[in-house]
Amino acid sequence: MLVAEDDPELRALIAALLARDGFVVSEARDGRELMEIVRAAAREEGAAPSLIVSDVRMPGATGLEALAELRELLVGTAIIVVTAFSDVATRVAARRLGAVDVLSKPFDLEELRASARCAVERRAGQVGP
Amino acid sequence: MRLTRRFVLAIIATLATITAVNSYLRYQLATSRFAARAEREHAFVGRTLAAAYAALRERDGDARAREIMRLADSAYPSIRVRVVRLSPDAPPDERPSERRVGLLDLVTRGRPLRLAEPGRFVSWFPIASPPGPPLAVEVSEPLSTLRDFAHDQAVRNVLVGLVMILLGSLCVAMLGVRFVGAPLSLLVEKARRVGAGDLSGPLTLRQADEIGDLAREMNVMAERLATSRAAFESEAAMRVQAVEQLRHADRLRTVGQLAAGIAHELGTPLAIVRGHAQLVAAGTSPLREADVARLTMAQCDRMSALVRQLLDFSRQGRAVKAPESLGALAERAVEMLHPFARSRGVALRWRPSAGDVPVEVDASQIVQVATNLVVNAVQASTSGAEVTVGVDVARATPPPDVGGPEGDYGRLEVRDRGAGIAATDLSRIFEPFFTTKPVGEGTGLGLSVAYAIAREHEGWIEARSAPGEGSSFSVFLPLRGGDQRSLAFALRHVEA
Repeated sequence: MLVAEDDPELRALIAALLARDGFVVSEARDGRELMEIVRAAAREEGAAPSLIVSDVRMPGATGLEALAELRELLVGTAIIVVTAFSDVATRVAARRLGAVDVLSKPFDLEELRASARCAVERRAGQVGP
Repeated sequence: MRLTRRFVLAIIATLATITAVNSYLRYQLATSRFAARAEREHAFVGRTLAAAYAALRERDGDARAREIMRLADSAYPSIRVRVVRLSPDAPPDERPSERRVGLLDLVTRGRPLRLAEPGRFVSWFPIASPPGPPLAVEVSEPLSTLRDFAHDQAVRNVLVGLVMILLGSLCVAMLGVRFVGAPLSLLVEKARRVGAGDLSGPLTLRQADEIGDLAREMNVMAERLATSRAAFESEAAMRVQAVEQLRHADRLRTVGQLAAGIAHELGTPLAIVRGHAQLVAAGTSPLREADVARLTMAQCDRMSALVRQLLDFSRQGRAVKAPESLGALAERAVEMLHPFARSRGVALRWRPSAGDVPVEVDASQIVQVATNLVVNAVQASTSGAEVTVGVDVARATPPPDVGGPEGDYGRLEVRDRGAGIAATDLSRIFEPFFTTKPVGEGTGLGLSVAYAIAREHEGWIEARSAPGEGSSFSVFLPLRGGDQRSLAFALRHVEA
């Protein structure tokens, strides 16, 4: 899985938390790095991450347009969006663009874990036999 | 009322001329009538008495005839009648009053003679007489009669003339005041009021003449002016309202950006603190408690800094302006930031202006703007690069959101040779919370605060950048004292 967050502390926290749940975590420091990794993964068969946890507001790729591009490039990847814009319109827009969940900062770590696990399981259910 | 006075004077002059001409003509007429009457009367009296004298002398003798002549003479006091002897040897009391040689020969030869001498009017009528010295009846009348008559006429004419002038002037004055002077005064007063912007109170002149027409036209004009002024005022009010609405919308947009920025900026440290606290509470934290505490403190500091900057941002608009030198303020900021630039290996170069650049500003706010721009420039520069700060007077046209004509402005320019700013970012750099800096270096409030301060000073900030070549930020501020000072500056600049 991939964690994209510009704040190093928060990025480390999320990465550590999900690594403990068995995820193989790689990190992107900003939007640009996120898109580079995603584009590289899209070109290579089987390299797509199962899950992306991404902030929506980062230098390099800001807003929900980036989410749409992610969705196009990685059809099978579950995306959890972390945002400070916790209004309903943003949540709805993010979900419509393909996010499986939208978490508002500050979020509960247990909620993030549950959401990540659930997203991956659901994806496994869809992809599986 | 001056117009009425002129009318009166003109009327007096006209009436006086008429009276004078009339008097002269009447005098002429009276004179000629007097002469004709005198001629007629003299002829009648003279001829009658000559015939009577001749007849009486023949019948009753000379004494009786002279008696009749005396009676005739006393009959009419103003006309003298006597018998004169035309021969040169006549006794003194019988000599004719006319003594010019040869003149009376005509009478001697039997023809009457009439003379208008100075002072009197005389006629001689020959008396048919037997041989002996020739005789004639002399009828004379003093001209004083005529003069008295003419004098009476003149006095009467002058009196009539004076009365005419008096009544005429009075009449013209009254009519002039009533129909010209008073309404014109009203018109003048109305025109003056219209000129001063007072369009109320229409004129009520019930005159069916040109002045009345003028008053009505003036009322119509004032009415139209009032209508167009009301239209203009309501349009101006609407424009002000529209601008106010735009400003309000702009403020709302700024507030929205601020709220979003605050949510993001506070959301992240809160998520970190909460996450670690949650792990500690669950007893699953990989970190030691002291580390978690340090981390929490760091995030709290970050949030405090944000709150402080927000306060700075909200404090804008309370500028306390005083006469300052833009150069001195910029230099203060440059001196303060030398250590910071040195620590980053950046050379900070101060380029002072040729003359004083006088501005009316809040010194601490302008120093804050200069500091902000210099810090940005230094942060954008790589080690070994150069940041130039300069002050001068520049001709510039304010951007549309500031408005105003082209003019001379005080300019503070900060230039770096850093990476530059992408065109898409350049249009957004003054938005609150917009930042391209890595986490921890800026919140994205600095430039928006700087821009707000510049706007508060009726100035603006212009950003130019070419990726790879560096950026230049220019703060434009109105010069104190307007164009004269900039002219003085320009002159000094030329001399320098």
